[in-house]
Amino acid sequence: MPIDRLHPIICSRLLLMADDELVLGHRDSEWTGHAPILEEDIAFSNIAQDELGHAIAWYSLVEELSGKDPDRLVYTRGGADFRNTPLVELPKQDWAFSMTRQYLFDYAESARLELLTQSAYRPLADLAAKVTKEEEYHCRHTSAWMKRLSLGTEESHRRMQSALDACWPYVPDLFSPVPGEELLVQERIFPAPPAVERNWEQRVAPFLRAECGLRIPESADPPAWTREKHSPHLEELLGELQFVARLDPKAKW
Amino acid sequence: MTDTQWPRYEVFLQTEEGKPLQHAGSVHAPDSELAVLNARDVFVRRPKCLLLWVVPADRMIHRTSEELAQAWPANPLSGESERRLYHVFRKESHRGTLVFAASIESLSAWDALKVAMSRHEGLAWAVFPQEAVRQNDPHDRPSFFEPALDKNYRLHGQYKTIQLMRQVEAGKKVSSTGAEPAKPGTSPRQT
Repeated sequence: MPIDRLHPIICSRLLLMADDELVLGHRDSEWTGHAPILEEDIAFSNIAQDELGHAIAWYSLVEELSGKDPDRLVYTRGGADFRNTPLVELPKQDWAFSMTRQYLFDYAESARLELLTQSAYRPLADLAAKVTKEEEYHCRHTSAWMKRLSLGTEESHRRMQSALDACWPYVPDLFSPVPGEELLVQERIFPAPPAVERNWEQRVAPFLRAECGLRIPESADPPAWTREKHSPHLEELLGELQFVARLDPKAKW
Repeated sequence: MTDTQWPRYEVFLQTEEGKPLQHAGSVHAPDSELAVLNARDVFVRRPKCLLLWVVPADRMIHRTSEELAQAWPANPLSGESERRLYHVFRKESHRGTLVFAASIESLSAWDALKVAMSRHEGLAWAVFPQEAVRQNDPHDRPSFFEPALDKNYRLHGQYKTIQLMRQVEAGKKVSSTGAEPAKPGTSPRQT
């Protein structure tokens, strides 16, 4: 199929990734000034900046393909039109939760990006190659913390197990197939979700069990929220994120 | 007195090929692996870093020349029987930071320092053994250092604040970059 006919599908698939990074970046930034250790405040703020940078990268590619302005996508869309995975919109809660969520998401993104560097669509492959370097560093950082907190004190272990239990129901959605994606998989533009999940599981499961001593939760009922139907948390987040821009929609920034 | 801080690690960076390692500051970390990661996040902000070392603060001897003139250990070799490699750093000027001076194989840190001081002038000195050093894995260079190269938003030169203020004060129309307002139809976007 000629590539330009695939553009709209590529765009909507990219929008999922962009929204994921934007919402997660925002949640991460909520720790700035509040992290448990000064060095970690800086490190986690770096990670937040990186995620926002990734969001900009994906939104910019969407703009190239469709003409949609990233600022409008970020600052004027309502919650119902966002397409992020529910895991990233959950409130930051305690440090164990944020670190666990970051760990699970970073490894999923890493798994996806690794396969995306082989995309038949060159601009996507190039961008993936660049972004993957930063995600790799995130993985290093979050896995170092996962290990130390899980093997730390009785309290830190308990909190880590609770965090894993809380995140786990949201994990399947990270690898759920997306409408229209099958065509992109066929054209080798996007990797098949099962391949991404396999890649992820091979790295994450042994690490959580053997190196962190955590129990991987039994599969539970999927949560009520999806990429299309969001929790009240997203509206709250967007209320904060879009507040200033919405004060004066015509302002020049 | 209980110190609730994590152990401190001194951080050294090499910012360009051919330039010597220099002291950047210190970080707290529970262990050397996290010290390297923290050091990267705290100190590798401006683009360009090739090499990163962290050394536990308690393994480093750090003295000014005046302190050394007044007190030198009476028996610096006591207890040492092995020759080790020591790295000596020195501060040449008050404004500068500690810069790598020499690597010296010796029976003790003090001995290595003595040798280095016979070769160079310095206002302050630091010595530590090679074995106390943890450095970034060269393997990790792409994910450790390359991302910073693109982050121009961290360079203060990217923000034309003074230029902007002059324009505002002169009553001129301003664009967000401090440059002349863009022509209609173009949109400068930075990724």
